[in-house]
Amino acid sequence: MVVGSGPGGAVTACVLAEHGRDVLLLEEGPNLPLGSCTPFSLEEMVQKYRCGGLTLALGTPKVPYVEARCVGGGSEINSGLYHRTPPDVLERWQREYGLQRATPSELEPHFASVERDLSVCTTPGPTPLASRKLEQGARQMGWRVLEVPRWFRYDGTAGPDGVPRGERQSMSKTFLPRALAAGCRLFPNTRVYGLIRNGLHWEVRARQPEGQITIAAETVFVAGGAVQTPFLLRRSGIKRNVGRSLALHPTVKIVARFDEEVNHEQLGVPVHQVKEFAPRTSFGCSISSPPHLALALIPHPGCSREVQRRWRQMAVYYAMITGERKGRVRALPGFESPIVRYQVGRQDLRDLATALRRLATLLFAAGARRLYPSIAGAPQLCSPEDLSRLPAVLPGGRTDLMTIHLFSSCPMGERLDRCAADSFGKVHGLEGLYINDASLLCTAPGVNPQGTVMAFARRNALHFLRRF
Amino acid sequence: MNGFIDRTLSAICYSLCAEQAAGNEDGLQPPYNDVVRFVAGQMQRMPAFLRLGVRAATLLFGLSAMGRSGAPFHRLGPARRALHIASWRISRLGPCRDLIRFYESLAVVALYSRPDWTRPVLQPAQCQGQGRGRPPGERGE
Repeated sequence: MVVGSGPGGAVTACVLAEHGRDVLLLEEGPNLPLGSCTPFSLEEMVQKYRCGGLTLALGTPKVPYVEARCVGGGSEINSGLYHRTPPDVLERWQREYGLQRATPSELEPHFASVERDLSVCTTPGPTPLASRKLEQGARQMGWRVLEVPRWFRYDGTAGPDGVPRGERQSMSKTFLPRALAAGCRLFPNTRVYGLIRNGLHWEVRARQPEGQITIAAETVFVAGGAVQTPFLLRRSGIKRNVGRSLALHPTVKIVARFDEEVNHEQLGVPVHQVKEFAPRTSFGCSISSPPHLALALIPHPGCSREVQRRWRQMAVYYAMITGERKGRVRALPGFESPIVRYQVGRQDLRDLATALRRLATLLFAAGARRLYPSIAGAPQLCSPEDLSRLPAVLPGGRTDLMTIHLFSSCPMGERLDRCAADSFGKVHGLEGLYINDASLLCTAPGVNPQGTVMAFARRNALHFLRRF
Repeated sequence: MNGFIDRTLSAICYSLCAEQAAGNEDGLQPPYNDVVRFVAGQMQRMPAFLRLGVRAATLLFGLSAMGRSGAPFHRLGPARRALHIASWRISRLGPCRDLIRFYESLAVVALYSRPDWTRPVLQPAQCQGQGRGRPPGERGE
């Protein structure tokens, strides 16, 4: 049985089913086609985001995050940007967590397979202008910038700016149809709330709209994501090293206004990222539709008129760091949602301030005329000289942070003092129970994590097949 | 009590939308029932423990207007409503600021998502031949 149909669960189910195993895939959310709503829209928030997108890591500042709740999980709502795990990150996981057999060369076949299966590639044509601005600014500064490939299939058409169009290769387009074709059964709208060991099998307790069900399974792979996986395990009494090491990428945004038009109704996903200061810091461009622009400008009262008059000249950019702190995921008695706590540390707030200043410098180099940082009470920036007015440490109570990357709540490895699961996802001390999603990642990887999640999911599922 | 909270929610949404629309384009003008429906729906979707806190804070917000203006928030005129929102927006108390920020975020997203906000979608141009991007490693880094 596989719990969760996001990137980890979908790959697991597909690998197991295609090797002849009897697989049942349970997904809490609905089964909706990729095209059921416009990407990054209000409708998508309501249809496919957990709690309408209103999920929050408590702390100062609070860190809103986004989780999907639909068949295909996060792959149905994210940008589809793909990275392999950086080698230095893998080396750290081996050194500090005892992760075995996870060198770049050992992971190479898994990355290569995922990249083939998802049509991972760069854009076969011009990239969005808002994204190219980031590239221009980075080149002016002499900073390392790259175009990040996406899992995407281009269809030969283009938007009004010539940017090629196509379809995101989410789980519902790729691994899930293959899993179903291989005999996997999918139960959407099925929320698992308990796992109980009963002799040689697991009893999986779940709720559907029609009522409660209990399913016996020889082996269970839990792949609900970095928040829901530890939540389920802890509710089931499985707590060792579970839900106490949540990591994320704290992200601060800034709106830039240019003289020329950089934005339009079909801008699409920006694909450039600046990696000069990686692994600690990355810069990128966010979805910059009018609602997203207006949201990012809330800390600047009265500037909503800027959106109304000049949104085509504006875009949202972000500075992201690898957070050093560890958060917690806990079950609250009587409540169906977990409590997530994450306290952004002072050093992180300092590093975010430095990152914001660097990003602002880059945007001025790219020709930005005005910048609006996501800090309540912060000045609008009209020139590089204004950067001295930015705080040296972001004020915790007035800064808008967010994240879309969460992981590490059930780290894998052989160190029993740190890890919830072994190097291949088997929960320490328990037979027949595995984790196979972002919660396994030992630390924040500093890059978009889905490539890592899928490669490890494939690796771990194949390892299981070889053993049993 | 639920009715009081719902009326306060509606009044907050109307006030915040009016701020956004002041002197500007048709697409942002009242009525704002669509925004209120969206915000109320989001309130129902949010985690229960957060919803309890937000509803309690909304109740307090609505009642606290009586101390200054003699009437609950939803019975005040536009100018007094704006003042009350402004006082909570700049409050030294984090939960007060958070409440206004919560409503403002949702109202803004709903308002700027209105269909009449954008130009008509243009027809996609045809590429010159079917393109396939290069695999990772061949471009960029």
